[in-house]
Amino acid sequence: MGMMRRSIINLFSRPYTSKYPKVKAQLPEGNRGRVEWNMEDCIFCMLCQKNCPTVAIATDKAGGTQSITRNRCLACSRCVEVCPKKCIRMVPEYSEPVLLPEVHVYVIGMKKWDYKVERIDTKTRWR
Amino acid sequence: MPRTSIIPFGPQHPAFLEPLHLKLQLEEERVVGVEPSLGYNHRGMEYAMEKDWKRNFFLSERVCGICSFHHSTTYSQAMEAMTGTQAPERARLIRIIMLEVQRVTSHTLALGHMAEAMGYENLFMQFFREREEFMRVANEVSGNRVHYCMNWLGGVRRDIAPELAKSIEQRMDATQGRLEELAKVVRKDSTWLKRTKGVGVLSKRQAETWAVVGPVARASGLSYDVRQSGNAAYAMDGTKFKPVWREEGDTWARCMVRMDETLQSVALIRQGLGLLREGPIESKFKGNPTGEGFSRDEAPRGELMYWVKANGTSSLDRVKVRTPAFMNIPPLGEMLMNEQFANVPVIVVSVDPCICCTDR
Amino acid sequence: MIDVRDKLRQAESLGPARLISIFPVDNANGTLDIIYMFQVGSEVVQHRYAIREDEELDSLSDLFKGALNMEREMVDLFGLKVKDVEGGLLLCPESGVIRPLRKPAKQTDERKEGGDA
Repeated sequence: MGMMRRSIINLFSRPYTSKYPKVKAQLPEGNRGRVEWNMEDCIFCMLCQKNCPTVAIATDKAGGTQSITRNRCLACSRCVEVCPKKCIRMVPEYSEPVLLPEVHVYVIGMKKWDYKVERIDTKTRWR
Repeated sequence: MPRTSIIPFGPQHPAFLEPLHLKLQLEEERVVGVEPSLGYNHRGMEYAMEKDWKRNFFLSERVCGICSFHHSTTYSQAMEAMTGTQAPERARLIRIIMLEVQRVTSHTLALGHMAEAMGYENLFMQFFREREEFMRVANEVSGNRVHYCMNWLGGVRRDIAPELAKSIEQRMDATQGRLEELAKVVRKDSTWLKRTKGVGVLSKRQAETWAVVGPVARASGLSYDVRQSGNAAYAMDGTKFKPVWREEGDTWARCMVRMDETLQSVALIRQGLGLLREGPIESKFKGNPTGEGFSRDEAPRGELMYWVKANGTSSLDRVKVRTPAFMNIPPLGEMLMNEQFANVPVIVVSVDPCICCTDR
Repeated sequence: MIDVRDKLRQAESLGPARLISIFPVDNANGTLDIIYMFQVGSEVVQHRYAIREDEELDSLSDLFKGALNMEREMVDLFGLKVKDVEGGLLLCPESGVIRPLRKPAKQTDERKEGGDA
């Protein structure tokens, strides 16, 4: 009578599921999410671009920007490991669904860890 | 004289989650002929893996979603065998712990899917509730629930902190009681027994000819497990590894083997956490590798083999992936003969097909 | 490959052989190495044969039924000829993709009608 007993116990206890999306997902610390740059320390050695397995990072030395295509990022933290100045960090984030692919652009002169969001129009260009 | 009709048990079907096509010849509810057809999920992984050997640590994970860490570990072990690098002891134990966590998530999913194919939705929900605990353990150690991205040549990239190890051990003690309750259901529940006993029998002689691996082979009397010997052996703490095996060869024996292996994995996780000592988690390797190497590992569905050949540049010459589901799907023709049509989803799910592994 | 069957029978004195895999390796100069991997006892044994690309192979599917799908995969992805074995396991005939895993000879750089990178 294992299942019968367990079913009666379950009938009178609290539900195990949580009401997502009203209740936010609980992420443990160390969860992999979003990658951020500190442009004050970046020396543009381009090691992060060379070591990214999915070619998600694009470094522009002349324009002084780092941009990352969010949909291609696996959150593997290879860029965090190979950066010689340790100016890249990973923060936990639960990525939301978007309608168009997003690119996060980090420019010299912005506040530390700050970025602006651009959108790629897939009809004209999908890098 | 009875006529045969041909029914397609197609790639889209509500009882099945895998895109496998079976052409069944029926004679009034009894199956008299089977023709399986594969290739719906062929992505050309062996071609893509030849481009860059560093990218492969992440690409090999994505061959399969449910045994992803096994693919990544076997690839790392094949590259380590080729270059002669030895992973340190702590890295080996962390790999074993995460491999067993993945094995529990895979087996509870297979058993839950089996209950769902029979219509036993209550038991399906119970299995997934126990599985959730192990997904959270994987999330805390590696940062993600499914693709762990933890392997590199010569070791692992993330460590287990001592407080986390203690908290995982306490949770294993709590889950063990609930898993034993579920094991009693799989062993004795009358609904389960009526649908699985004596259904889809694969004899020992047939299992040897078709060269099946994994729980399908161990349920038919071949007590063979990769974890017993070789360079992936689990000889932790001096104790030898004893595989779980049965002799009946029917669907019930396969499910029982998976359930007993789940309980064995919980004991192995606890043993591995108790053996962790201080030390490095990676040994460095510089440059590009050359030569040939291969490695085998016991994925949840059976024996997984990677064979790699490198030529000293950043790309590889040949990568061969021999997945366990590739060997377990063809014997369906023998298992389904002379069975009732309503038993077809139950038998196919008991073999635990994984078409993304089969087609790569 | 009649040679493989003889070697297997000699090795069977140590214990029954279990088939692990059959796969080719392309040498990029018109020859291929076919590797037959077995497990005998607790050891893994590899038998290698060097063939030209147009030689016909003998099928092992009367001894090991599990070898049939491996040989069909060889016919599909490498364009080899195996006796009484047809391709069609993984690739559709109307897809236009022919022998994607073969490498061209080392002078040229393009692939022969392979898939997109």
